[in-house]
Amino acid sequence: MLFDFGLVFRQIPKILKYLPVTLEIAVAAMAFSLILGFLVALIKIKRVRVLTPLAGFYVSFTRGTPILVQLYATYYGIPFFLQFCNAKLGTDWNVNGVPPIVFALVALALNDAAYSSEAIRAAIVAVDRGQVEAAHSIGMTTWQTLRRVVIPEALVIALPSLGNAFIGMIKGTSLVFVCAVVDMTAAGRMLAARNFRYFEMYVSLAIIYWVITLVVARLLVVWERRLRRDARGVKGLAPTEGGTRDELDDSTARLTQKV
Amino acid sequence: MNSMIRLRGLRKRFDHIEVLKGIDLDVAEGEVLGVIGASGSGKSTLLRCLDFLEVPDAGEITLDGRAVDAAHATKADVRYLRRHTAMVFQLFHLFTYKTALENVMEGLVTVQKLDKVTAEAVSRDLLDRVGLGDRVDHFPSQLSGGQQQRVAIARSLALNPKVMLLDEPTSALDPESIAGVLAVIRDVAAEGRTMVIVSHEMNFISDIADQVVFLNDGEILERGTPAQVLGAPATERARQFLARANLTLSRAA
Ligand SMILES: Nc1ncnc2c1ncn2[C@@H]1O[C@H](COP(=O)(O)OP(=O)(O)OP(=O)(O)O)[C@@H](O)[C@H]1O
Ligand SMILES: [Mg+2]
Repeated sequence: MLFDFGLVFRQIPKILKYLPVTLEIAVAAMAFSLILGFLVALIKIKRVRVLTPLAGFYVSFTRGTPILVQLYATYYGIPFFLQFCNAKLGTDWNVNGVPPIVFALVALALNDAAYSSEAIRAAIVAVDRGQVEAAHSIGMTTWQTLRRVVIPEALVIALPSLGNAFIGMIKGTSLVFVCAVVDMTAAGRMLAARNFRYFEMYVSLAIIYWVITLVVARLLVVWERRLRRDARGVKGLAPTEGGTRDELDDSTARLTQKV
Repeated sequence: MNSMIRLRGLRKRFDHIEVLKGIDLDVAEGEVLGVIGASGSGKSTLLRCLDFLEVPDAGEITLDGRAVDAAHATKADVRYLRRHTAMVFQLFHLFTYKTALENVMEGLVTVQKLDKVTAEAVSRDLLDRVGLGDRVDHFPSQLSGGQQQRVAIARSLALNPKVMLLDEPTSALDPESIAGVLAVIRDVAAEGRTMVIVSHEMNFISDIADQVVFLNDGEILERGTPAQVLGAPATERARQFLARANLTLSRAA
């Protein structure tokens, strides 16, 4: 048989056993990436001395090098770094004891944060200055304003790009085999090595990744709609009905009576 | 009467233009001060300096007995000023993804650390008072400009500020909504709250203000009762400004 259609679907459950690994890496790396990206964005916005040029260098360097090179560099670089520390600082780290997944997480997070930081920075800057001032004027601190006003609004603005970044992250996990991590793709290659059905295997993998990204994209749309709270109806009232002239006159009339 | 706000030598410059050239000003407790002046004369800057939304370069701000050296204000000074003043903006600046109720509750919960139940009860009362008792669950995008401004006033009132600062609270509103907002401001003034209002509504200023100052090019040129400043201004600049303002008023009418 030239191409085994049945096999494409029969082997999917076998690969799916490794789906948790793929998702864990993607979610954990994304979480680290968001934290780092947020810090880099804040450094750039606040123009923190010394750190701003460093952040600029990091972003430029990371965006200017291929992810595959970064994965290899991390894979060989971290043990090298540990060895260096052991020699110079007298630490006693086990150079060979680093779990492979750590390399993958570090590389993916560092790579993605370089992109996310720009999206996060742009979103924070896009939040209406007036609302920040309003928050300050009622006595909220910088941190409270950030947490209660800026981040909820910036999230809505950044969500489409961060969502794309997450989808990119899921696809990026297919490269972690270079760090000796066995994700879906790595598992698939090993399975295919047994029967030499590589083409069928990659078709199966493609289908799985495609379905995952479809589902994630769908969830993101739902999430975005939830975040845009004001676009949803309010207690049986259609959103557009809110500020009509009738209602305005109505409530103004009531007010003038009252006061 | 007790002095609520006392400004001495307040200065502010942006790049090369001096916007406030040493302002001395006293506002008594419970007094309503109207601030008038041409566009660019520094009215907004004056108000914003009181709230430290703009950092003054020099001078002294005394709010209810506590003096703040503008040039060397500490974090605690800024917190004090902001906690006890509240700004109402021309463009409302309500929090987009919070309902009217949540907008009003925000300061009570985050700043005053009130529990949610009490904060909600207080906020519902305030929204009732500004005539929006039936709009508590609406988001800003579902409210008219006038309604948004009334929510903004309720949000400021929630913190029970010693002074309310209002920067052209009605100039972004259509004529129908203005009456409602002015009625709310009148109501707040009537309960004896100290207010500083920047406005181009001369009739309203003359009606509500106890004292009026005319700001020109970063300096106070006139001060006195509305009858004095609006009715019989001493300076030529003020006369010109008022003539023009009255012209636009009568044209609008
Ligand atoms: N952030 C800023 N940076 C630079 N210049 C500013 C800034 N804010 C205000 N200015 C300048 O300061 C001057 C006074 O501005 P301000 O907003 O206080 O005037 P205003 O009296 O409130 O005018 P309007 O009636 O138009 O609101 C103006 O010349 C303005 O261009
Ligand atoms: Mg102004």
